[in-house]
Amino acid sequence: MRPPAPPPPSAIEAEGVGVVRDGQVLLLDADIRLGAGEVGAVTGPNGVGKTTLLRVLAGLIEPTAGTVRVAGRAPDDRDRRFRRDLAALIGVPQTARDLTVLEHLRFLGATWGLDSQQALVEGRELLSRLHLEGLSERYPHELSSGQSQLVAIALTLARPGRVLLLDEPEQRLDPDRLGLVLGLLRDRAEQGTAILLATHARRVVDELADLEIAVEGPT
Amino acid sequence: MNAELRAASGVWAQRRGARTTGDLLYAVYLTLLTVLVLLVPALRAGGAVLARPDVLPLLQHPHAPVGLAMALGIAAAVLVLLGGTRGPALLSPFLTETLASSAIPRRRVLRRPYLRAIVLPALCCVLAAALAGATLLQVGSLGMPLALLAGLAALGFGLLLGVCWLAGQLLTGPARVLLALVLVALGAGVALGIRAVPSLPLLPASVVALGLGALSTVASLPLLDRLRGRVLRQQALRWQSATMSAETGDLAGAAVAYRPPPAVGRRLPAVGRGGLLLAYARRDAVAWLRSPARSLGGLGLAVIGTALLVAAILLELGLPSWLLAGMGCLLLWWGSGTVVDGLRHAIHTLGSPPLFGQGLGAQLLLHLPAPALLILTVTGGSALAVSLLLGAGAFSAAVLVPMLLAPLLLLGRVWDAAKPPMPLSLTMPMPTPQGDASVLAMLIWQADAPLLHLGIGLVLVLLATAVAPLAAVVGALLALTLLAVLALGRLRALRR
Repeated sequence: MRPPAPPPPSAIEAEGVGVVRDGQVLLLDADIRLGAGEVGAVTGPNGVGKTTLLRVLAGLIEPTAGTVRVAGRAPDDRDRRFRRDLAALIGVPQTARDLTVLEHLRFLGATWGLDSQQALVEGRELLSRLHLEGLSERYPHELSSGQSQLVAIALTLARPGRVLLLDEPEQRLDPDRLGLVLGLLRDRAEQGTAILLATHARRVVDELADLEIAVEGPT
Repeated sequence: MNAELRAASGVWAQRRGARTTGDLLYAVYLTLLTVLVLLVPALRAGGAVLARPDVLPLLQHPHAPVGLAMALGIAAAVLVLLGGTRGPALLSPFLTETLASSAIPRRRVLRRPYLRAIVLPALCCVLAAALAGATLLQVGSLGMPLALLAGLAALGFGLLLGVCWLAGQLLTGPARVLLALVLVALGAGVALGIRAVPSLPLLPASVVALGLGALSTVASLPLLDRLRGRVLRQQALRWQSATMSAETGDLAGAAVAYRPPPAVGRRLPAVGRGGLLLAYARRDAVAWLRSPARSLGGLGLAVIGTALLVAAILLELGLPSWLLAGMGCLLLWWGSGTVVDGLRHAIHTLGSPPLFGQGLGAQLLLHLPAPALLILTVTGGSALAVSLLLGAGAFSAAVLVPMLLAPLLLLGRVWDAAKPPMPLSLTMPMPTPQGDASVLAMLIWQADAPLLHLGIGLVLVLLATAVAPLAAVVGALLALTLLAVLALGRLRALRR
């Protein structure tokens, strides 16, 4: 009889993660375990280290304590498989001043192996889901603050990833648009993507999250 | 090129303002024309100018390769350190977040910008070799085949320098500094080795240099995969910010983009007991300690600048001495930029609602003592050391000139910090048979402070060597008055 297959690794495993810089505690002892298709919401007041935690998971900061595994690997953006597995929106994404919104999505699709037509179709579909069709020919500087946030989310969702990290996706969105974003994220989770987001919005936690991770700051 | 990269390039090429084949052909045509019409005659003319009795002995000296090896070691170290701030493998922030963050291997994505960037050190080396070759060709002490061999060797060295640049981008802080030190030591070691050899056979040396350069460039390509996304992102953002500032004529703003934010020394007491003078001096000194690498780099430049200035005055080499003195003045200027943030900050408070208890004049005066003391100590100490090393004693004109320049540097910095935005009139086209000359006016406007400092420095050297040290003191007092008037003029204009 063949031995039973080992259980699949958690999409995100973080144990006792802390970050201290020059004596300043940026994150204190965070634990997370999130499986494929699950949505985790990181909550806590400003300054407790929610964004720092996401940055650690994205491999942008090295933790000074604890262990981290994302999609079974230690975060290192020099690893192509890690880059493929992790999509993240932390801060404002860089845009090209001379590409329209739709061209951004097509370009991103192309970098992830879609042919031009497929990238165009998927880009339009994404814009349509976010009710952004009318903005497809606009340049990034022609967007309002809320529209920029929606486009930032669209750019992040335009790429593949087994794990998705989002820092306060609700920022600057009206209730209707937030509903659209939550719908998209729910679909991504149902397709098996593990989603971890930092949020201050109770609605996001209530409507989307399978578990809430309350981060505690240094006392 | 793999499929993803090809597809992405296809979309990128369709964007508004993308470079067309016609643009590319025009760029090639323009490059060829510039080389043939401007560069080749300029090299010939440069060779004719440099074929002088005070320059030729330096180029023909049997130990000239010794100096070259040491210079290459230092250049390699400088490029390694530069790689930590602006490496050769760099894309725009957008392409860094898309292409370089996708699953496409970074060696494919970054290969083209990397190779394009290392053309720069290669070109600098080839041009320097071409200028030396053109000089020696003028007097017939070098044939064309040997000049071409020297050019090939220079190309090899340039490629090696490019690889060192990438190494600096790949390594982190301490390892980068260690490699820079090793390269300086290696340059010195090679120099000693060459010194022991009676004559260096140019053909095998050129082949080895070119071969090493080409091989190391090819071997370095897989290392592009090891570049960290964090480094690529930071460098791309800084470079974009600096180039945007530079394009709008704001070179000071461009420099700010490369001023690293403080990361250490958080607990150093920037504020403590004592009067205002001590409070401002302490704040200035703690600011230097909180950016130690930048401060040390600036002081290092000041030490090298002083050493060049002293050597230029004492060695009396004619034209080479003037070139050394000029370089020394410029290095002193750039080195001083790292210790005058307090002066800059005081001037930047103009135009905002008052925040500090002191007005602008008082702030400037209070921010002056600490950098003045530091620069005087550094220039005086290093000038004295170099003068003693060269056997000229402690009280030579060579020690006096750098010390006279120290207060002038600070006033020059105040004048520079109070610089207004570039006047629009300078951007008006100035058609000449050789093209639009307005770019020259803009360049001069951008570089007015270092150029003025260079001019003052060279005049002081002339006065100290050709007239008397006392004349240099009088000259420095006059320059101090001139700079004070200029700085006050700009500050008054800013207040309006």
